Amino acid sequence: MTCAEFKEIAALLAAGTLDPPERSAAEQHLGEATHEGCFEALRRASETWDAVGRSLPPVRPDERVWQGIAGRIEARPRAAAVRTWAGWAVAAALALGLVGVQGARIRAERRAAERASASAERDQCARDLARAQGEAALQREALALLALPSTQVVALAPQQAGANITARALVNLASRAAVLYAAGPPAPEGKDYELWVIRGDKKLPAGLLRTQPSGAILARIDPALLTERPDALAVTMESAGGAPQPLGPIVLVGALPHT
Amino acid sequence: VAASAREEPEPLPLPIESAVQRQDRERVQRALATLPAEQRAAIELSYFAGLTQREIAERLGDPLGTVKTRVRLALEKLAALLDDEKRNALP
Repeated sequence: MTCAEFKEIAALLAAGTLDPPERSAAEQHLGEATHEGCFEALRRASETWDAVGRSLPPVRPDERVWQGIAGRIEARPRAAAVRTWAGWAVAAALALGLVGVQGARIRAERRAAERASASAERDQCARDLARAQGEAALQREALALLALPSTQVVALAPQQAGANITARALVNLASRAAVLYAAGPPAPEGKDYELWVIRGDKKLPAGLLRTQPSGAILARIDPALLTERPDALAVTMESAGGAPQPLGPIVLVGALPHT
Repeated sequence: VAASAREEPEPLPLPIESAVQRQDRERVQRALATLPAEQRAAIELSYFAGLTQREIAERLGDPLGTVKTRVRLALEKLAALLDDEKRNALP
């Protein structure tokens, strides 16, 4: 890769959106001895992307996210108490002359248990944070769509008396992007809300509506479903896992205005 | 089926930011708004949606090279606009 070629893609490298082979080639190029403005181009691109990030208002994570993390951190003293008790057991064993192999075995088992516990904690935290990051990404996408003048806001009206779920969809057909967000209780046990893209007499499944860590219900609509203009969006309540065609009651419907 | 009384969706969490941060955000939003629609879409899909250049090309139905060029030109223009705004803001 030449310096000119690198500078063509420095913006994409800084955004982290290069495909792996090209990213490797770009990173390899940076390792070369001489450059003609490659690092400057990369630095300037990074600074500009940072500025793009500042165009969004900060969002405070829902308290339940942090409560979940704090709860697991607070759970650690109990593990410490177990360790303390185990320490006394080891001391007693030593006092009784059960030293050597048995003591080493106990300590090894204790360390293995601690490692397993710490690993499980880390895995759980990673899962929680990944879910929170997924939600944050969806929120960012929704805010970005909202900022586009060509984005249509489609209100989905409840179709059942007493329904306490509402939803709006942000639809930008030019960029084939749409995010639906809803407010209301999760679907009852054994049921799922399923989203549908309606085009003519076709009802195309657009995924299940999942409750996010914050309690919000957010869903990204597959861009492939937006290649042609939909007539409406609908939400039905289906058996858990959803259905290929709507079978359950219609919960929400919103028509896309033809502009 | 008659629609029942609708409840308003709960708003997203309220942001907390200083006046300086707000001014900075508005400055960047103004700069973003001046980009041509296709360049802005490429920036938004790249940064906010986290799509790779190939995914953006597939989504928009544009050649890969066009997407790369759009992102590069958009970022260059954005950087220049932000530089101008910064210079103009100085006393």
